[in-house]
Amino acid sequence: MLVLARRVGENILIGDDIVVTVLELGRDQVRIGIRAPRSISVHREEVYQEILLSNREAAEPADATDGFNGSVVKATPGSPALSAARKPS
Amino acid sequence: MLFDTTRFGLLDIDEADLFSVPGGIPGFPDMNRVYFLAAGQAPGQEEPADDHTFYWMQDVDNGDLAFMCIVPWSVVPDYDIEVDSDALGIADGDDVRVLTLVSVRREDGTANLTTNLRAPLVIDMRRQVLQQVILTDSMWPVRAPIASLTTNGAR
Repeated sequence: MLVLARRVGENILIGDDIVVTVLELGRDQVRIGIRAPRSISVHREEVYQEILLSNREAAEPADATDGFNGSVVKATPGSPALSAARKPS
Repeated sequence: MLFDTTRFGLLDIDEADLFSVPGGIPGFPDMNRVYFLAAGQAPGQEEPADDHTFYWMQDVDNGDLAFMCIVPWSVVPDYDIEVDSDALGIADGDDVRVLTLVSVRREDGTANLTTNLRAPLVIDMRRQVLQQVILTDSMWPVRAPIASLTTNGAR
């Protein structure tokens, strides 16, 4: 891991177009500003991990939800719910 | 074109009806083409597409992978999100739909359904592109309760 010491207001450049700025120092917290192209997504790690776990949980294998599928939300093939044909032109 | 799926068997899908998912979603980077099916619809019954509450999002390149989705406003009528339309490539007046992923947790014959309001699927209907957006400054929960259902023949 690259370790750099920076003062408040100083920047770190990553590549050509990502700028990380130290904005404020607290007792056990640092405020950091990040300027990056919109195509780069920036997340707090713990939030991203939580979403990732939740996605995995949502992708249960088919057999685990069989009873549920059959009785409550049976899906019918052949009916494109969100299809190009139905979008307004 | 035919796609083999675990839940729905062989699906004959017009490729023009697929949605692209650039980069996939967190945890599933390889899910790049999906197809939506309405859930809770009786076989052979034609219903207006917009009336559904539940959908299945099927990864057409991985027949095992499907996600149950819900129209979030059916759970939380005052659900309100702000997304960066420029970053998502959405233009003014584009038809944009929002769905959220549903998780099912089973305990002692009860199925607990929750939905992830923190990371909605934002769907651009014009370009047929889908992105899961992680709301940065939002208190909407990752596991918002939808319902608890008692299932028959619990395992």
